[in-house]
Amino acid sequence: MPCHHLGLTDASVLHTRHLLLTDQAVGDLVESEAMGAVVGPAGLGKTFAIARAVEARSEPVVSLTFEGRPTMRLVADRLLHAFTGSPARGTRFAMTDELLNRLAERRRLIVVGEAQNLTRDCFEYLRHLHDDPATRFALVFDGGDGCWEVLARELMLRSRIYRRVAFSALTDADVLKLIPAYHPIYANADPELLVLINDEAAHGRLRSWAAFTHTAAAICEHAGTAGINAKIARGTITQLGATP
Amino acid sequence: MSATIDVIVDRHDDFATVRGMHRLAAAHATVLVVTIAPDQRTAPAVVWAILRALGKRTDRLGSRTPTWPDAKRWLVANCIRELVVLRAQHLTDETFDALRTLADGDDLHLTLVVNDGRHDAARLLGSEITTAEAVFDRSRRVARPANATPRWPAVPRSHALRLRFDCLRALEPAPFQRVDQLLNATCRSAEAWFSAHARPTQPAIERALGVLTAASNPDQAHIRRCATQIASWRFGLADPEPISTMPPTKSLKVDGIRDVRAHTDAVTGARRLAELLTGLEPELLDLVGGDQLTEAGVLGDEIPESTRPAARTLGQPHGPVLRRPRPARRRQSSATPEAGQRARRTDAFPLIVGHLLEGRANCVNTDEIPDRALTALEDLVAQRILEIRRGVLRASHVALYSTFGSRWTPSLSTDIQMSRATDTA
Repeated sequence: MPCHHLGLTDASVLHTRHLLLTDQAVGDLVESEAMGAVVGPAGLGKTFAIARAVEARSEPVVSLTFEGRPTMRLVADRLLHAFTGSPARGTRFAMTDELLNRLAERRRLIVVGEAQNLTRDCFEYLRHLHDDPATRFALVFDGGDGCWEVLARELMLRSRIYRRVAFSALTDADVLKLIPAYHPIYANADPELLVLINDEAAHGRLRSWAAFTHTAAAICEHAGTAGINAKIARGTITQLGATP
Repeated sequence: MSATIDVIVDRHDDFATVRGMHRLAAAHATVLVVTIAPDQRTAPAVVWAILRALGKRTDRLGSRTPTWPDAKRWLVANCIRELVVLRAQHLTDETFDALRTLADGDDLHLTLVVNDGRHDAARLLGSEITTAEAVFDRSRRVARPANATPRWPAVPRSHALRLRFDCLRALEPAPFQRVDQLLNATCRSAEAWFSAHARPTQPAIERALGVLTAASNPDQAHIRRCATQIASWRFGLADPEPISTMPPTKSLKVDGIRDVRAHTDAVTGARRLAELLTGLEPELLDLVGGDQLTEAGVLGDEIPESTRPAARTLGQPHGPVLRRPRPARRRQSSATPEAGQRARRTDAFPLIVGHLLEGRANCVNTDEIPDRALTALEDLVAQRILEIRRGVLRASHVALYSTFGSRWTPSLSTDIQMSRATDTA
């Protein structure tokens, strides 16, 4: 199982609609060797959901994350490095050639994190690798704000997206349904308190829920109490510096 | 020649078009589909896109940079008649022009798939706008490559020591020149092999001659056989019987075919093909002549259709083609026969013939010749290969001409000189 944010212990996986959709989408993409996108604002659990879905697969997985604005050469270089374990050498066409050969060897899954950082050329380059009739890989773009806008703007990219999962923040109803099972400190929590935490600290974001829980659990342990109460919740919100 | 250029404007690089074009290429061997990656701005990258589509691999490219002549050579060798360029919008003006020149030169039907016709409007001026469906439905003939190997002329089954002369008299200039080149090249190859091996074993000689005389055509085989006989005698060796100790031509597996097709360098690819098919050791592969490795076959045996492009690019020189040409080792009359080879001369006949073929100044008194050898030599006299006057044997001009003696190297002037001399006689 992938690690929760901040290494939160004793937390269970929240089977949100998006998590289940991501599971299904990754499976479909791998089976069809197709391209897909898991998009949505930061902290909603996209990367966690993908990591969990990938765990269930037996195919080799290459995960890449690009900071800043990568060039096509950097994309090729990082991909090759992931396959060979050593820095890529040779001309760009030789690198592309080797990549095409490697990607034709067997079915794989490539996950590109922070895909919103990719330029149009980089998307185009990945599409070039994917469109080659010999290559066999599924490609998942894991992207935050702006990722889908870039993909959707170019119909040549948009039309190739076989599965799309658009993450959104947990609603109050989601919180009430799922959070009591998330961590032991919420097992008997007052529903109004959970809604308050969501409103003031988590804002429907799973990453924020993990951060809150990590801090609250420590306070609970220090206070010798098993469950969260309003006082601990307020103290945690203060510690996190969360604002409504 | 001027190529036809069609343009398909596919605004969204529709995947159906991509798939359809690849299916088209899979169904028709004369159609090649290449995809231009967004980073393929340079000529080598575009050339490589073509070569890759033809099965070439960068790990078989060595340190070479692929060039347009490479693309041209292999497109022709693979009998490609239509080139479909997907994502042609990524071509620079320079590479677009080079591609058009390539297509013009080879009368190649070029189909460019672009996603924005307006962007490329200027350079596509004059091209036909068409659709993917029209390209799919285009009528195509099954292209059989024209056999580039002309038939061998029928040559007289003369004695080796007068074959050249008899061909000069019997054949038209063009076929004669072809025979002459093969005879000379094979003779030189055999001599080079004898020079390089001071003490060859009899099986080694027979195997080498087995390669040198292998041919897919009886006339070609006769010329090659005569050439090795001349070389043997010039080295004072009894005419060894060439034996084919090569294993039967092997069938190539898919990996082998891929390996052969992966090479961009024509010689390396052809050498790999010959190696895989014949199983010959490197030294014997060095002896394979251009006329022995053609699309028709290697050393007389047929080669798989899928590997023929590797043989088509070699051209048809008659000398060894599977290695870098090395300076011919010119045999100095004073240096031969070498000590090791002298030791091998146990038979008087080749010893005497080799001595006489060194020039008219060399002669042998018949009284000094053992009876058994003299009988064989008198047979050559009857064929006007040797002359006997007052009990002295000499090589005739016919023999010296036929064995490329010092005055009779291949050239039009020596041919004319020989014709006149014998006409007068």
